Amino acid sequence: MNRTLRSVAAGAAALTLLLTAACGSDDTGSGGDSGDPLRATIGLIGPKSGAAQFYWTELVRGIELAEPEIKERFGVTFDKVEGDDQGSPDVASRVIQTMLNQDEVDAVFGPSQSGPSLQVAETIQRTGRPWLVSIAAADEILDPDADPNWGFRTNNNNSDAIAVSGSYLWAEPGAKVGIFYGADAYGQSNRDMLAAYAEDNDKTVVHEEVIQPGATDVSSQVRKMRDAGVDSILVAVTTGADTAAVSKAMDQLGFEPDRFLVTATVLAGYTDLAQPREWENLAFIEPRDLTGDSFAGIAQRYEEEYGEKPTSAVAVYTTYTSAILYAQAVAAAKDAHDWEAVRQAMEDTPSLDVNGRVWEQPFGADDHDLYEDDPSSWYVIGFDPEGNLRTIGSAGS
Amino acid sequence: MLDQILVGAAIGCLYALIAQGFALTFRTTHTMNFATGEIGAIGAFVALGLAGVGWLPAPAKLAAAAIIVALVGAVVFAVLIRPFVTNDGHDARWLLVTVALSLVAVDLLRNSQGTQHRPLDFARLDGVLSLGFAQVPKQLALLAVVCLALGIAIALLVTRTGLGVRMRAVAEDTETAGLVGIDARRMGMLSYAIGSAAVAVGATLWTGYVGVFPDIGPLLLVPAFAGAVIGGLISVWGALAGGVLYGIAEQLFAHWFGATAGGVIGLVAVVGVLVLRPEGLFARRVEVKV
Repeated sequence: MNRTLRSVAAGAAALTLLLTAACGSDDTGSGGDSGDPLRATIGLIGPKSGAAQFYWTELVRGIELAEPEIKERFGVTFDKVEGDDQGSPDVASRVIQTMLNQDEVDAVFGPSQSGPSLQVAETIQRTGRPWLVSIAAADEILDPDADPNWGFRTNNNNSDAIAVSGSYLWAEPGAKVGIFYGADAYGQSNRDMLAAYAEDNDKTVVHEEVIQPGATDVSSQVRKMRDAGVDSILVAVTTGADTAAVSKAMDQLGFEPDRFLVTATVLAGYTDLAQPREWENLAFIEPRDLTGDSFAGIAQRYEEEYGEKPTSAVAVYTTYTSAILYAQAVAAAKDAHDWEAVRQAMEDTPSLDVNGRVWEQPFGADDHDLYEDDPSSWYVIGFDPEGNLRTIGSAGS
Repeated sequence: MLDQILVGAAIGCLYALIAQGFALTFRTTHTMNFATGEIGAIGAFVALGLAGVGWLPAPAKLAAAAIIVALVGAVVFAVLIRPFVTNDGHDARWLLVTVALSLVAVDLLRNSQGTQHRPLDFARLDGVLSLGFAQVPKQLALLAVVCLALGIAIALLVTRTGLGVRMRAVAEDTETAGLVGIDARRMGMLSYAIGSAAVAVGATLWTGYVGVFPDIGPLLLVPAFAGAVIGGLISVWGALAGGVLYGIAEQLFAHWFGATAGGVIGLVAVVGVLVLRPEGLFARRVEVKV
């Protein structure tokens, strides 16, 4: 009996060790100086579990897709340390400490979402490590007064998006602008920024309606928007499904505003849930030409590599961009472990080429955002009747 | 406003059907499945999987999804809930188990299916049904008709058939029911199977309108549970009425005072009912002589 118990205990102990090793392998890495100056240990942090897992997937895959090009163009290779923030600022705070202090990563990519990014910003700035903000868009993540500033954003920020959206919505003199916004942080933030833009530009948001995420029917809100005489609307909700709820109700009520602007979240499954007649007049603003060779080429490589379309092609592209930016800087600094030199090299980037799209001197000491708020450099994108993306024109025209 | 009442009633029929599932299992076993929303999600994903079976007509796909989920419901009761069912009803571990089940199920669905909304390519009607005085989306009208019909059928089954009598007997006294040959375990499994199948049908028709996604659980659980409490947890007719009332109130308050008020009013009503009439608006008050 005792022998049996001992056997069971020994077996359980061995199994525990094996499981511990297996589970731990994701969140630990070699870290620190591996000897090769062009071999960087990068920390990836994002929602590996939780409701927004697709952001994690796109973060990882965006870097994976860039790695062959990075190796070929710059001779740089990555060792990756993964950290699951579960989409939670508190968890992100713990994960980043481990990454910076125990794993001694040479650079941090992520977190993917704004809340966790805001939470870790001060820690990264204090510790001093190149930080690639490739997906999160909240303005406050990057502190323009930080000196030196370790963060570099390769996605557009929210205020730039709203500034360009505002110029589009109020393009016609006398336009009556209204907003549907989600009852969550994303929607509220967009609503506040549009209101601020309106105030700064002596405009008025004529009507506002809240959309509960996951609401089955929003015809009441759409009816009130229509009855307020709004002819130019912004829909700022988190999912394509919520946008579909709005466009469905608009279709049912025959509400056809002159301008029907949505945010890029519409890319997450909207056309699967709506009818072509609902998106005839729908458009969104993007600083990337989603049908151009640079963007579409990477999306196509994604499909070839993983056998499926990206859930967020934008997140893939912006992460790909961040990987190229960082690797180019490592090559310029000649040592991934000289963090200040890499940071300076990113700030001094003379030219950044991402699959054919080129930015000249994209950053400066006071500007760590890759994209600008000049409407003429943004695109108006919509869908064709088959649900494929189409570029309608420039947001500045 | 008539539009809002109709839409609210249509969505309320879905809540009502799920609420009735709560009432059915609570009457029979003194337990409820707090993973009901996730059971609905499983049903919707099963239906999504069946969508590609071209030779199967839509009603058959719906029925197949309902049968599969009914089996899931029965197994959930037999394996996870039944061990904690006691005659005095003082063991509440079934509650923890079903809450844990909901967390596990949603995590499994997210990891295996992704978090995005996916279209259900059958049981999906496009357009609006105009009734002259008001209009309602055809899909919601279909949802209302099917859910209401199922709800009435279940209520009649429970109140007017021998099977219903046996279920009530188990609810009243498991031991005595056993003495006359009624298998309490089987009755429990049956009530869970019926409740789960109903949820699967309702959730599938609903996701035909909003898309299939793993996180539908809370969106269904909260209003349905509230509807059951409002109508009366021990009354299958009451739960049916409670669910419809919840749907109408939600829609009307959203129309009058905004979406946030619409989401809150039902829960305020629950608190009010629990304070003033804990047995629910439509359930008979039970006096116990001590």
